[in-house]
Amino acid sequence: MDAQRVDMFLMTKAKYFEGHQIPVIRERLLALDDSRFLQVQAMNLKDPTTILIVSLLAGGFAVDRFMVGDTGLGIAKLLTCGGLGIWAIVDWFIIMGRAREVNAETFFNNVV
Amino acid sequence: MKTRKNLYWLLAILSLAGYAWVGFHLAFPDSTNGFTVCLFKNVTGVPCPSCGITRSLLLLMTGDLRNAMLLNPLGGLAAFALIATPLWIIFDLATRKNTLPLLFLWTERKIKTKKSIYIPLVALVLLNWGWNILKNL
Repeated sequence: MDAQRVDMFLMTKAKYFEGHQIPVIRERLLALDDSRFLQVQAMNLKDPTTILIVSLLAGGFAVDRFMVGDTGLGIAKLLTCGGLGIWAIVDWFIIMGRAREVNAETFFNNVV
Repeated sequence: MKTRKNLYWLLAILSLAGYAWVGFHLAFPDSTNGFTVCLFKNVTGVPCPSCGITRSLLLLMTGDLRNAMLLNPLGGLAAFALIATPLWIIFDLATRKNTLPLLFLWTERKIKTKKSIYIPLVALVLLNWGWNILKNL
């Protein structure tokens, strides 16, 4: 893909990914066909900040876990009242990293 | 997907928290009378489907299976999970296998996709919730 488009994508979506993944993502995008641009832009990426806010407000109801796609863990968290509150607190710290992890998975699944 | 090590750590911490919670209740009975970690109950005053699990587990520890299940059947599920999870983690680490994450992912996929599984499960949880409300847990 055209370097300018790749950089534009990265500028807008850098926070959706872990820092150390950005170079790899950039490389994959550069190697990608231009016609895939729309598909790349349309990828359903989850905003880590939004999910953090959701986690702070409704983490007890596992909404944050369901939003990142961890259905199994979400159900477990829900049925244990936020893991006795402890899991809810733990997730405040790890849910952003998890969201970025899921975004990376989505990205690499989409660019093969 | 979540790495193997992350899943083990999370499950280990959760199991530990579960044991600590039950242990705390055994050591200091009645010290948490009326108090609950349930966000839903604290906000609305209405019990959630999981209310009563701690009490159910405490009853199970005294051997009173019948009343434990009558109080909240999910207590049985919690008991099973609290016993099986640490053992399973140790088994996986000892035999260097991957069975627990695989089982977890398999169940997750099955529940997510098969209507014949998730609809009855959701119905059961909702029924349990209604029952909890009737029991005024």
